Amino acid sequence: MLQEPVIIMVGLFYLATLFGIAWWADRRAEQGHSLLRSPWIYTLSIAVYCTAWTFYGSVGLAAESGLAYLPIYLGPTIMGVLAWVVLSKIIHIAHTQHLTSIADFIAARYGKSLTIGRLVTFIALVGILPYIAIQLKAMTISFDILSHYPDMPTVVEADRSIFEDKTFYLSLLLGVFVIAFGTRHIDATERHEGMVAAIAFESLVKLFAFLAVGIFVCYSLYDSPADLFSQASHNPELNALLSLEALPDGWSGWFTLLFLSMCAIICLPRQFQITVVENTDLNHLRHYAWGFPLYLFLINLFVLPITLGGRMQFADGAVVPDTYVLTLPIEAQADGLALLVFIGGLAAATGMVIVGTISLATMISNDFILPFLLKRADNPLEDQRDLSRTLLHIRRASILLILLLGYGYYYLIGESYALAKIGTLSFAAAAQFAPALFIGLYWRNANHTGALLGMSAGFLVWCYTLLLPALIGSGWLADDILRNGPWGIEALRPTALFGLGDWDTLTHGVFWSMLLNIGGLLVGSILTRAGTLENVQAALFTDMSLTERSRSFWRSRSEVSNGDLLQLLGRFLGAEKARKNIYAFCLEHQLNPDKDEQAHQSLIAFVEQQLGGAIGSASARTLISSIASGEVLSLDGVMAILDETSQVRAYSRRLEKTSEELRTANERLMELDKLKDEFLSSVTHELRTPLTSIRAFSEILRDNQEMTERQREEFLSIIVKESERLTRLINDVLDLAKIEAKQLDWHIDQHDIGELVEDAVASLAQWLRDEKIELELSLPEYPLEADVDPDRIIQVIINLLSNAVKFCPKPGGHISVSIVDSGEDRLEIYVDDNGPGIPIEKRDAIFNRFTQLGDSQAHRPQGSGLGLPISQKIIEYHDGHIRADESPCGGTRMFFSLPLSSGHLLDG
Amino acid sequence: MSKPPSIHQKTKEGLLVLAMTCCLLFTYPLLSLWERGEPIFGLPPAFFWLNTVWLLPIVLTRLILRRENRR
Repeated sequence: MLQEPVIIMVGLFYLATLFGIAWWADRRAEQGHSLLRSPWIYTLSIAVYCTAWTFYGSVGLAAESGLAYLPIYLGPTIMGVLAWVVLSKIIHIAHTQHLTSIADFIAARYGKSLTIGRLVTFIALVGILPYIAIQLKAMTISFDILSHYPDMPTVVEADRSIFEDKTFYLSLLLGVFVIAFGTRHIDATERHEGMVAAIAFESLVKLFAFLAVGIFVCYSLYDSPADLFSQASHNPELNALLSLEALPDGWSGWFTLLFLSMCAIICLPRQFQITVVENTDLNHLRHYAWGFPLYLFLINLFVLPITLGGRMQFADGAVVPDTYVLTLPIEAQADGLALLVFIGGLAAATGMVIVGTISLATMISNDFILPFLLKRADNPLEDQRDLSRTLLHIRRASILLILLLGYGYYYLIGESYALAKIGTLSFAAAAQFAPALFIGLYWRNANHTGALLGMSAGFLVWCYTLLLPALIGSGWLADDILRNGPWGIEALRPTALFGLGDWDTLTHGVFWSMLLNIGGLLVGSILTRAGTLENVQAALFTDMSLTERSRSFWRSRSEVSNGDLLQLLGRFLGAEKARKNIYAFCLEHQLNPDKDEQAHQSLIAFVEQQLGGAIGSASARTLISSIASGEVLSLDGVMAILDETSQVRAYSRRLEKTSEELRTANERLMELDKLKDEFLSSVTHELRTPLTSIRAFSEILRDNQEMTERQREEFLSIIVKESERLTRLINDVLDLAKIEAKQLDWHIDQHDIGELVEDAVASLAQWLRDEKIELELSLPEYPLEADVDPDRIIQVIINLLSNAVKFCPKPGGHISVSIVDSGEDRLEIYVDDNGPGIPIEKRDAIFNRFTQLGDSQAHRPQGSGLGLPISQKIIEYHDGHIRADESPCGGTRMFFSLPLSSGHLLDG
Repeated sequence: MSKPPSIHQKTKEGLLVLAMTCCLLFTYPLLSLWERGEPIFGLPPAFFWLNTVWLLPIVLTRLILRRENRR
């Protein structure tokens, strides 16, 4: 039996548990073990999006419009995917500039404008009050239903007198709870670790409760989901709820809800508070991006089954569909489940009320009350040394005021309007922030006038096309204006403005309000010029790389001291905290923290940001201006800083490029160094061979006096040969080194290559005769001239011929040398032999230093191993190519090409 | 507050394409295609497909960000 005191006790126990969790989380944070380090706490806390509207209202909406409730959750799913792209930028800016509410954020974007901040706060207050009313309504209804257990109240009695209305006392109780919860101290970051932990816990509770009801309906009231859907399909009315084509508001209504929910997930003050202000680590967005959509998926999985179950169980229509989640367990007399659902609904409602009122209270105190008090001629705060307590009292009063206003809305209107309709009204109000917020993030020219014009126009149209029909719908106003328009002008009918009456009320209102909002922002921004501070803020918001420099935009002309700043900050944060923060800043930035020291501009900017966290950026700016008597830099000054930043970035890019070049050069140097080592090693090895030979034979000659003359001559001949080889090797090494070091003197002139070939052949003629090698020379009939160093080209030809001689069979060797005009302004020289040829895999390797073909083809290497590398360098210097190939007669073909001289071409 | 974590350009593009695809999948006319046909596992086709398609961005976002973490 669930009696009223039991329910109240369970409800109070739940609230006490929440408070305990918050206290414990705060304690852990103080000890350095913050729960908010967990991305899952952050992700779960964002599910504060799912309020009583979700818990009870989704089923109500589904009972009326079938699947039409889904876009409210599909929109945030899409925004979840975009979290990394959009939210990371918003969060980074908010944290860098210490912005603590959506009003503060938008106001800061448009030059820290108090007017903008106030407008946003006002719209939020008017728009969110219905939402708070929903929560109060849901809590009251669920309590009423449960307290009548096991009877099924078909009509919830309404208490008309305020002081007899339990909702009034519930509002006060919630007010006390929220005050205890969220305004225990003032902090520059406006973070509430305990609150976030408690909200994450609430998200788990409501999800668990909703899933429990869904499973109960599917598997206890029916055999399975298939059974439930099968029974529902026999009822044409219920069958229509399962069809997308039967959406009452059509696809336009679907699209509108999708759009509104995409905006609401960031623009609703409570969502901004939890997602942006309470975020401690941008990396948590990695979990939020898919974890939160998964949460939404799970909590909506059973909405349709519960709806169909409710419609079938209460076919007489006596039970309000909004209450199916609770009434189905009651009908089945499942006491525990009914109590769990009550707690789940309480969790959903209190979560919204706690975060919603705290965020709104911050906005109201920062944008309305504090600036009002500070600007009054008889400033009542002037004489107070410590304003932190006053600030807390202002916040607390604001919380109570918001809750009482929410109650007022519920008392006057809420009972006559369905949960779902009230919710969409609030979503449409929050969407009015979207153009100024999102366009302002990416379009630098969006300015204060545009934002003011756009949001004002959008809000007025929202009031006219959505709020007014809601007031009329609740019987507060006559419906004459809806039917005939004001003063009988039909074109101005609130639900069919300018004759556009084909859409549902929500789509109609959202279309006109967004059209005027975006239009106003664009037109206002294009037609007017932004001020200096606006330009600075616009640059900081649109270009994230500049935000880090924002602190240096203050330039003090006055004698403001560190002590003045300490005193100012201490008044709002408390003396101890202010001293700690300022000292830490001075330490970090190597500034003198002495009280009498003139304040550095960066410290002034820091104090402004700290104050901004506590009282809002606009109020902070006013206060700092009053004591620093300074100014923000002129546009030129600011642009100079921004230019400097751009220059630094450009310099950084150049530096990166140079670093890359240096890295490449270094790699090349290391490669060359390695090559040098290899070269030295090879040279040493090559030098040692003939030297060893010379030394050995010399020692033999010295130690063996009885040696015959013939042997002596033979050994001396070897010594001479090895000495020649040594000389040749040294010459080659020197040649190669000179070529590579570009120290070789080149004597380039125009020469007939045929003549050079003949000279080279002549120098080897005796050797060829000795070796009995037949030489065939094939020269063109006309001279082929090229710009070459003749000695070097002869050196190449001799080298190729020498190699050919070495590898030719003896006797029977045959070498042919030919020069061909390739017809492409180049000439080609071929040296063919009938030797063993070069295997195809070694044809490139022979141009490496000290690479010689092995004994399989010749008895032993006879050269230095540098002839071909030197030849290659010489030919490449002449812009030619050299390579090895197979000769038509089966041996080796060495081939190189040279460009014909330009003079030769002209002659030709 | 730490500096904003940099995100690979390809990841950013992948998320944008996924979000745009979701916008298409969750609105008319693609949405209307899913309610045709017979019940699937006893569930109405629109209900079944909507929930199935809803899981798509959740799984794909998880995969894209996991790949980003590994980079």
